Parts: sequence; structure tokens; C-alpha cells
Amino acid sequence: MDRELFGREAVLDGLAPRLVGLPPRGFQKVPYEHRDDLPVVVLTGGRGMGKTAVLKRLHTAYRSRTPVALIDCERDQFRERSPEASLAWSPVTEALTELGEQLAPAVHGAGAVEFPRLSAGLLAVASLGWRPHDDENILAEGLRLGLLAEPGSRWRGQTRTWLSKVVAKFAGMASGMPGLDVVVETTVESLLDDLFGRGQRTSAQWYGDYPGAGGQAKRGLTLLALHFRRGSEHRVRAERHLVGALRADLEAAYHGMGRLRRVGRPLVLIDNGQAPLGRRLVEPVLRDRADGKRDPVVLIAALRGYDHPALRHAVRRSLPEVRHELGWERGREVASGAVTVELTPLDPEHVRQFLDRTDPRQLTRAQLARGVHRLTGGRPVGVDLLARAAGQDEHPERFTPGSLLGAPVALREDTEGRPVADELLGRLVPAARLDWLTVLAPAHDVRSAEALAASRLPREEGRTGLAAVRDARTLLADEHWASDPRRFVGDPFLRTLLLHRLRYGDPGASRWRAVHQMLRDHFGDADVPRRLHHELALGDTEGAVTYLRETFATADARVWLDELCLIACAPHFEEADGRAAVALGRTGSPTGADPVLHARVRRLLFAVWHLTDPLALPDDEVTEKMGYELGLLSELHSSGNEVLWQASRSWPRAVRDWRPLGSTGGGS
Amino acid sequence: MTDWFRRVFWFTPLRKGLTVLLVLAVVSGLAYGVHRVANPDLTCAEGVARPEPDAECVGVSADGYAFGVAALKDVAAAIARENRGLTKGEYATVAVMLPITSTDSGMRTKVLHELQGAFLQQYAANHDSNEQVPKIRLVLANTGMGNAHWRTTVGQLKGMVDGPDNLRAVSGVATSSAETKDAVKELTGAGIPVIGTTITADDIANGPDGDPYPGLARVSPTNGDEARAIAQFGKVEAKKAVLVQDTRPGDHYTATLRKAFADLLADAPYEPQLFTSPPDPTDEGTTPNTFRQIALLLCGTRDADTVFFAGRHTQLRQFVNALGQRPCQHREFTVLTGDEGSYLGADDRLDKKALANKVSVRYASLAHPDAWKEPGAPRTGGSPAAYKVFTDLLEKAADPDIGPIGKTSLRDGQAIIAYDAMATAVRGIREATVDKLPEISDVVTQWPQLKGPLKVEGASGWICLDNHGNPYNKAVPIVELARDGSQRFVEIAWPEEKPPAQDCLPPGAS
Repeated sequence: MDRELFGREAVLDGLAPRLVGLPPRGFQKVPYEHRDDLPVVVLTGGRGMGKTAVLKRLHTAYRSRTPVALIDCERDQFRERSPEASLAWSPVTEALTELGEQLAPAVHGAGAVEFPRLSAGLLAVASLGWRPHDDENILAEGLRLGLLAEPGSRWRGQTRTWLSKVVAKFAGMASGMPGLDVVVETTVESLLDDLFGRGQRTSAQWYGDYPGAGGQAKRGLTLLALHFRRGSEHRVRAERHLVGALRADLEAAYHGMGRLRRVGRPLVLIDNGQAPLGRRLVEPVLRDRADGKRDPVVLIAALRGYDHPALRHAVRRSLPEVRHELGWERGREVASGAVTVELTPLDPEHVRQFLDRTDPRQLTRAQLARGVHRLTGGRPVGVDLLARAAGQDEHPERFTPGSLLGAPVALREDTEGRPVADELLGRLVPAARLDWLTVLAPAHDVRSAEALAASRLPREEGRTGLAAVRDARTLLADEHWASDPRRFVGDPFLRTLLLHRLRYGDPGASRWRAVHQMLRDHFGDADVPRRLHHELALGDTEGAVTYLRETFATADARVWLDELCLIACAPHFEEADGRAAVALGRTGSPTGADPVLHARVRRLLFAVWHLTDPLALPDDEVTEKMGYELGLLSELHSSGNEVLWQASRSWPRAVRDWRPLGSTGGGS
Repeated sequence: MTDWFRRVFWFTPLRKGLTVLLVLAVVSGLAYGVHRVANPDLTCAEGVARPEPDAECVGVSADGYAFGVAALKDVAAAIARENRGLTKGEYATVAVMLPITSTDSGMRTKVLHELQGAFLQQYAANHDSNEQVPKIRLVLANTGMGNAHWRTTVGQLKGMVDGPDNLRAVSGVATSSAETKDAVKELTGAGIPVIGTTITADDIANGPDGDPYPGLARVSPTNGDEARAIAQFGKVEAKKAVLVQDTRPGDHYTATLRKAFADLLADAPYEPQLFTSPPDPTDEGTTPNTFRQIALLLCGTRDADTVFFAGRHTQLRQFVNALGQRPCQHREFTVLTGDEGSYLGADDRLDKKALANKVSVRYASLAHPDAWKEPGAPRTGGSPAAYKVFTDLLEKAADPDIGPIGKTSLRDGQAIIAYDAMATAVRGIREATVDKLPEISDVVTQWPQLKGPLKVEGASGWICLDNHGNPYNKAVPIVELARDGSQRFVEIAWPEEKPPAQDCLPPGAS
């Protein structure tokens, strides 16, 4: 079953069809938005925002109707190799080979795409690494690259014959190592004269335009290979030409008879474009197009994050804007040939659609969709996995967002389910940093994080806790996680996931306790609300109630409400959630001085704690009660009557609207 | 569905182009099919077409098309072979106009025999006539069953007068009916010479009262001549004769007989007995009842022994059958009638016992194979030698280079008459020839010349045409219907009482 892309239709049904000229399904035609000059579309967004899913979906949708290729720049095979291996190889050549292989197969109504230019260029470069008596390697590599020029068994045989001829030539060379230029020249000459037919030789003439080639394809190809070997700027230029060769081959495929047989445009999808390879693939396209070298390739890249130094001048759009029109025009800068499209979080409605699909029996609680949306902030990967976990359970009616995090989700039918939270963290956080982040998650700021790191993180290879905090901060910034001055981990969803792991990571939750106790002690009397926040997390509530009761009369009402919120946002992972019962006054007994006020404050604290907890589903009765208690308290307060009364009206409304509480009322 | 259509037919420009071509091909194919259904191919062969779908094939054929009649295949092929041997521009065309596709078995036999006779004469004219010019090309002109489509065929014939066909005469006009009359009128009106074979009716003839059919010649005696010949033959019996006549209007044959018999029996003691045949005289109708009464009446007469019957052959058969049942079986009766009597022999419904019961049927035949046989043949008015030329030709026709021409039989005399009619046409055409081909208007004027030394010595007797194109004093063989259905030759009767003189000139013509 195709993965549905709720909320991503703007790309799938709007932007991509207008660029490719074909709808996501079916064989109609879609009018092009841009006729000759095409923008490079860069999808931006943080981890788990659905970039890869969009690209995969585009790949599935257009496969078999138009040539389409999808590569992931972070895949192992594109990783830089040893300097020795890099002489005749770079991630770009590997990626171009892969792209050529993916774009080549015949699609409906049109034959295979042939890449004689790309093949010639890659063979010239590859020959840099060919040594006499290295027959096996030459045959394997040469055959793979040679087949880009033309598919079919006949050509395979011809290429094989040609390669053995090349091997024989090398062997026949004078004893000792021939110079690289001789190897390349020999290969190129033999390639053009012996292997290539007339049509392919004409295509290869494209290399006559290579700087310094003087119109001679052989000279151009040899120069390109030698430049590639020299490295740095020279290699960049050679690679730019190789990318150009791919585009020129596609351009040729869409001309002449191709115009009659081919509909739409070829589609190249580049995932994880933030990797160096991504830039090396996309930049030549942007530069060539800025120079007026047009081609019919629709290039859509995904970029983790929201910005990239090279894309400073790119046209910026957000997802909903591109549904009907991209509205792109080339400016003077090279980067203006690109459009960044920011993937926005999902709406609550999309979450509901996810759940409707995974839970066709409609057993989940009505509020769960909004609850999941509040928990995930609309991050597609979270919504997707949580919805699937809900759908895979026998009794999805029992789930709250909190219990759903611990539910198992099986991504394939033949695999055992993993808890959703673990699965999500596996996708959102690099495994090497996960333990550190888990420990640092409860921290409020850098200082508390450093304190935590100092006491809780093991010293490794001379690295101090401080270094760990710096690493973690770098990671969070590099991966474009939101920041929040009040939290060390700014993104609420990631923070909740990390806290969940901290709580359930070890059987006795001893680490959880230790971390919170450490933070409680760290704040001590210097920052009482934060200390009480951690006490609450540890399950110790009386201190907080007493503190709030005692400060009620003296403190400014706004400050008091803010402190209430700060304390009440403590994480709560207990299996049995007794907070609603306490809030409604069904348990607990008055103690100490002023028992009436004490009970009221306790009920209010528990109500707020329960209602603002993203892992719990708000209860209508508790919401009412919270407003009621605030109303009563407003009458008791000497100066804050107005503030408290406003809060008594606005807070229940905010809860019903799934908004965060604002201490001053009227929403945040 | 739409998606499937687009995928297969409309996805790429190439596919669109091929689809358009395919659609064009299918549409033009369909259009052609519809056109063919709406305008069916009515042609049967060159020059022959159906006037409407499912109708018979009508028209003129020169290349062996037998109009779908199996029996005619051989003779049509023989004619075509003969035609193929001719050089364009050196031949004159003679059409044999007959209801070839008639389904009536009598008419079919007649058509076959007529075509055989015509072909024999064509062959003789082209091979045994000392290379006289022009050569004769024979074409088959079908007027359809009952001559219903005569207009089409006549129209076509009119168009063949000019080259390359050079139609110079139409022969074969074989029945005496209103359609035939109209057809002859039309042809002669267009200046095309017509030679009737077995038309005997007086009103399809020219006469002293006027020439309504300029250019019509006949080789059969008129009904009037026939009736006079019969009357001469039965003269002695006139006092004991009774006239039985058909009163249905519009039938020239019966009307002519009626008139001739009535003239002969003007002072006969018995008044004529009348009957009325159905509109289609081949229908059985209710006439058998009438004939039973007439038979009773005949028995009631004192001494009547001869019946002059003026009617068509169906009624004749009914009458003979009724006579066979007469109460006075002891009395002998002789029925005298015109050439329709010749059909009686082939009629299964004829009560053969009647012929045994002292009833004999004698009639004027157009020709009979025994008429001109030595000894006892008259010395003038015809010759056994001329007849032998015909029979020799007939034998020769078995030669695969000439024939075959199908199953032959001379009993009904049709082949002989057709042969003579063709001979008359050939004589007329060649007499009019000055250079290679005669003008058709010259052929028309030839008929009155064919007498005296230019007479046609036909197999059925001399044909000396009078100024109106009718044969003068043509030999009329009187035959009697034998019990086995064959015709037994009785004797030759002459309209003018005795054979013509050696010069064979009609009175007043010399």
C-alpha cells in the first residue's frame, strides 16, 4: 500500500505535476508552469518532517511513466573513500552512475534513455585508475559504465570485446607503468574509434566544448579526466561537466524522436541534500542553468534544516503556497535558480486522517487525534508511527498519547514491534548521541545541563561533561531543532520522547530518579519553582502545594500563575494517573494550616498538571473544575482578583482549544 | 476507461499520431462499408446489372456471361469464344433479345434453343461465307422475366449503335406480348433493325395499313398467315367447325387467331363459344368449368368434328383435358390452333388419354425438323438442301473448337427459326455493306429487298420479305400432337394455299 501523504498534497498533486507535466497517477497531461527554464526545488524541514517520504512517494508515483531516479546522499556508497581510491572516483561519479542507471530503463511509450556522453566521461575518469594487468577490475568497471551508453545484450558483447582490446593494449605497452595521460588518451581514443558508433561519436562531440579542448572531443575527454585527477578546483570543474553530460544526454533524449515518444520531463530526486554530495550535484545544475544551459530535468532535493549558506538567494516558499503556483522567477544570483519549499507541520485534521486510516474500526478515543497532534506538534514521522501503533493494537480505545508512546509498532509484517518512542528516537537522533541527550533532556538551561553532565555522564577518553553538553548543543543546532530559553531541549516532542526514554530506559527507573534528584538538589533554594518542578516529577507533590499556598497571598498574581505553570509542567509517567481524581477533590485530606486554601491550591495544581500534560487527554470535568477553582481563588486574592478571574475564564477555553495556558489569559 | 484510453492511445505524440491514422483507417473502412451497403454493387458482369438489389441481372453481355442460367453456360461460352476471335471495328453486332432469366421451364428451353440457332448462324456467317464482311458479333440481351426490364435493356442497346459495338440489328424478339410490342416500338423508333423470331401476333407487324415499326422484319408468318394456313389445311371441315375463343383483351396472339378463324368461319353453322382466361394466362383460373360446358355443347351438336381454338396453351390444355372427358366418347374431334399448341407436348398436366380418345390436336408450327425432308418435299418455298446445311452445322457444333452449345433438340423448331432470323439479319447487314461496315439506316431499308433472288433460303423455308418486312407465303408446317408429347409432322400448309413460285415475289411487288 502506498504511504499516504496527508498534508503533502501541495507537492504531490500541485508542484510536482506542474513541473513534470504528468499527474501523480494516470496518463493525462498537466500544463507546465515553467516552459524552458526550470527551478531546482529544495524541500526543507527538520528531521521527521516527511521529506524522504515525499521523495519516495514521488518516485513511486512517476516510476514507469517518466524516467525517475532517487538517490540518498548519505548512503554509505557515496561516502568519501581513501585518497588512493579517490584518484579515479568521487561520490559524484558514483552518484552519476547510479542516476544514469536509474533513469535509463524504458518507460511507458518511450524506449530506454541512452547516456553516451555520461558514459564517455565516466569511462575517461575511471580509466585514471586502470593499471595494466588489472583485467578483472577494468572489465567490471568498464562494463558497468559502458552499458550506460546503450542497453541491450548486443551492446554488452561489443563493450566486452572492446574492453578486452583495451586490456590488450595496456599489456602491450612498454614495460613499466605507463603515464596516466597515456592510459587515459589510449582509452578515450579507443572508446571513440572502436566502441562508439557514428551517433554516439556525434553525441560525444559535446566534450569538444570543454575548456581547452578546442572542439576536439578526445582532447576534451582527456583533459576532463586529468583535471579530475588534479583535484580541488579542477576536480570541481570536471565534475560540473560530468553532471552536465547527464543533463545533456537527457536533453538529447527529449529531442527529435524523443519529442514524439516522451511525455513530461525526467525527474531526479536527491535525498539528504545537506550532505556535501548534494551540493556537488545541485550546484553545477544551478550554475549551468544560470549560464543559460537549459535542460528538461526536474530536480527535487531534500535538505534537512531550513537554510543553507549556498541557498541564501534562493526563492523561499512554504508548503501551502506552492499548491497552485510556484511563482518562481530567476534572479541575478546563481542561487535564485532554486526554490526552497518548507515542509510545514501537519494540521490536526491530517492527524485525524492518519488515525482514520490506521484505525478503520474507529475505536480510538475521539480526543486522541488532537492529543497526538499536541504531543507531536504535527511532525509527520511522529503522527505516522503513533497512528500506526494505535491501529495495530487490539484495544486502541485504551490509549492516551502517553500510553501510545510505549505501545509497540511493527513497521513490516514480518518484524517484531518496537515501542513507538524507541522507533522515533532511532529516526530523530543519531544513536551515538542518544544516551547523552536522554540524560540532558530534563535540563532547563545550559548550566543545569552542564551540572547534569558533570555528575551523570561518564567521562570518556578525556572528554568532560562540558564537552558532552557542547556536542549535544551542536547536534541540536545542526539538526535544526527548535530552541527554547527555558529548556535545554527546545523541541517539546523530542524532549518528551527523551524523557520517556529516561523514565523507561532502565527497569527500576533509577536513572530517572537520580537525574531528577540531582536537578532538584542543583536548584535547591536558589530556584524554588524549578526544584518543585522536579519534586513533582519525582512524585512528591506536597512541597509544591505548600509553596503555592504560602506564596498565594503575598506574590503577584501573574508571577504566582507563571510559577504554577512551571511547576505543573513536570513530566508525569506514572502508570496510574490519579491527578484527575485529586483535582476533582475525590482523594486527599486537608492538612496543616489553612486547610481550605491548601486543598484548593492542590486541586488547582493537579488540574493544571493534568490538563497541560501532552501525554494525557484532558478531561472536561477537570477543565471545569480548574476554572471554578481559579474563580474562587480570585475572590480570595487581595490584588490579583482581575488576573485570576481572567485566568478562570481563559484557561478552560485554552484547554478546550488545545492551546497552551497563558498566565495572563487570552491565550499565548 | 479514460485513463486506459490515454495510456494506450493518447499518451505520447507518437501514439496520438498512430491513433489518428488508425481512426482514419477504421472510419474510412466503415464509410466504405456503409457506402457499399447503401449502394450495393448491382453489377453482374460487364454490361449487366441488377436494376435493384435482389433483382435478376439485366442487360447486354458479349463475353460469355450466362445470366446465371446453368443451361446457357455452354452456348454463352461458345458465343463469347466466337466474339473474341473478331477484330474491333470489323464486325457488326447483332443482339439476341430474350427474357433469358425467365424461370418458366418452357421459356428456358426456348431461350436455349434460340441462342443455339443464333450461334450456329453466327458461326456460319463468320466461317462459311467466303470471308464476306462484316463479321458478325453476337450479344445476349436479357429483358428479364416477362420482359419486365425491357426498358433498361433497350436503352442499353440503343447506346451500342455507335462504335465500338456497332450494333446493326436486334434479333430474338420471341413472344407476343405488350412488353415485346413496346420494346420493338422503342427499338425501331430509334432506327434499329429488328428481326422477330417467333413473334406471330399481327399487331407486332407492319402491314398495308401502315408501318408502325419501321425496320421490323419477321421470319415467322403472322398469326393471320398462320390462321389462314390452318384454315386452308382445315378448309374442308369448315362446315363442321366450331370456334372456341378467348375474350380476354390485350392478347395479340389470341386476338389475331380469333380474327382469322372468325373470317374463315363467317358462315359456319355454329356460333363461337367464348371463355375468358385470367389476367395471367398461365394461371389455371376457373376456365376448366367453362370448357366442361363447351365439351357438353360440342357433344350436343349434330356433326361438328373440328374445333378452331383461339387461346393460349394453358387454356388449350384445359380444353383438351375437358374434351377427353366428353360424354360422347365415340365422336372424333380435331382441335386446330396456333403455334401455342407446340407447348402442349411438354405439359405434364395434359391428360394423355384424351389424345387416345379420338381427340387430335393439330396446330401450326413455326418450323419442324421433318418438314423439309426428301422425298415429298415441295419443290419451292424451301429446300431440303438448305435444311441440311443447318443440320450439318449442328453436328459440327459438337466440335470442341466451336461448341459445345448445350443440349440440342429441334423438335420445337425454335433453333431453326432463330437460325433463320439470324440469317436474315446477316443477309440484311451484308447487303447494306458498301465499305467495311454498313450504316444502320441502310440496314433498315434492306428488308424489302430480301426477296426474289435475294430471298433467304432458310432451314424452315424460303423467307421472302414483303415491303412491310413480313414473310410472304412462308411454309407453315402443320403438326399433330402425338400421345408421347412429341409433334408429328402432318404436312406443310401455305397461307396462300400453295407454295410460292420459284421467284418468290409477293404479288404486286414485281
